[in-house]
Amino acid sequence: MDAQAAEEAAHGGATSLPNPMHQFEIKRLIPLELFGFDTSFTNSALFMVIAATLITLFTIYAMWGGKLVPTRLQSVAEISYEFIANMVRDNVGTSGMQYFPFIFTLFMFVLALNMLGMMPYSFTVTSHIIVTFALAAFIFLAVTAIGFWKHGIGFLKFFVPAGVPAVMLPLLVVIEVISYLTRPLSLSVRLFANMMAGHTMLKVFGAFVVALGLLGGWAPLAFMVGFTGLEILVAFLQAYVFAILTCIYLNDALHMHH
Amino acid sequence: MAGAKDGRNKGARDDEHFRQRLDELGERIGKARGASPEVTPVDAESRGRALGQALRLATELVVGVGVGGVIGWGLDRALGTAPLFLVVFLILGSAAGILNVMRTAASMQVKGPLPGKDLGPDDDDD
Repeated sequence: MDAQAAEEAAHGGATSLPNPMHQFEIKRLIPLELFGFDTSFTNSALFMVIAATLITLFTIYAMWGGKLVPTRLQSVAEISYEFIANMVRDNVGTSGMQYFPFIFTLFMFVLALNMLGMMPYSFTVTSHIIVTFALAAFIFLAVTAIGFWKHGIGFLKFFVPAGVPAVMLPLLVVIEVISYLTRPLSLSVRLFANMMAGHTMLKVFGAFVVALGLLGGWAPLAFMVGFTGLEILVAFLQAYVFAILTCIYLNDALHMHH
Repeated sequence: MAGAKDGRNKGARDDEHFRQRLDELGERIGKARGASPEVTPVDAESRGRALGQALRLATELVVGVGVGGVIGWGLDRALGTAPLFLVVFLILGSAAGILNVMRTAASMQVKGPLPGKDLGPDDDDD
């Protein structure tokens, strides 16, 4: 298929609706190849850079001068700090506060990516499972490493449920290990599925508005207004869930109880 | 002397006046509260949270089966025992998925006495 035909298919001809999956397409902005790997700077990478830059500028600018009575922007920064600090303290305990910088960065990054995705014509990085899986896999490996580092080989006891007859143990340990291995996948699938499903829905209903025109387009338009609000809530909620589950996994590794 | 007494009287009068105004304000606030219908801002939020919980439970179950299947498939490929391990690990994966769902549901439970019970879900009654 040549490029023009693809473009036409993506935006739909006069008869067909636009392709709702077109928004998830990865485009190479600066083609690049390192050691035989395709390391092009893509639109996905661009939005990650934008998110990281925005968070950095926001936190630095908001806390510039750091007044005792905070300005509006400063109190936003302070609220997000306290929100995550309380989350870590409640779920991991005070011993978990040394991991606070990571959790805070993680939450702000996912939140910024989700919220940037809500802007028209932008790209939602978290709607790609490879991105969310890379984040979740890193968390999983790091948390497991912390568990072994804190408890040594005794961390393996985490997979042995208490108060179970010895006959059942081999079976239950295997089930516990599988249950542990599902963590990175369920963490990444949840974020990716929520973001992709929501954005696909928005695009589909957006296409309905255009297709039904001035006469019938108002009903899907009204739905879209409400659904956009819900999507913003989901964008926040999923960033929150991602961070809080990281806290829970960290707590398991540090204190070893389910 | 007279001036000081006057001042005290004046202060008392101001106090009374102030209290009267405060009462009036309280009445007006009460009226305004009564006039506007009771709004529940938690509704949309709780609905969003419920949706999130439902999706979370669903993914836990599906992912458990998926991970079990992938492990079984990998073992079969490595050992050439197809489809023995695939079947075994699909079942174990389902068990792990259900275990995950139960743990997740338990963590979602409201920390308080269940209806018809005097103990919270985490308490033991023996």
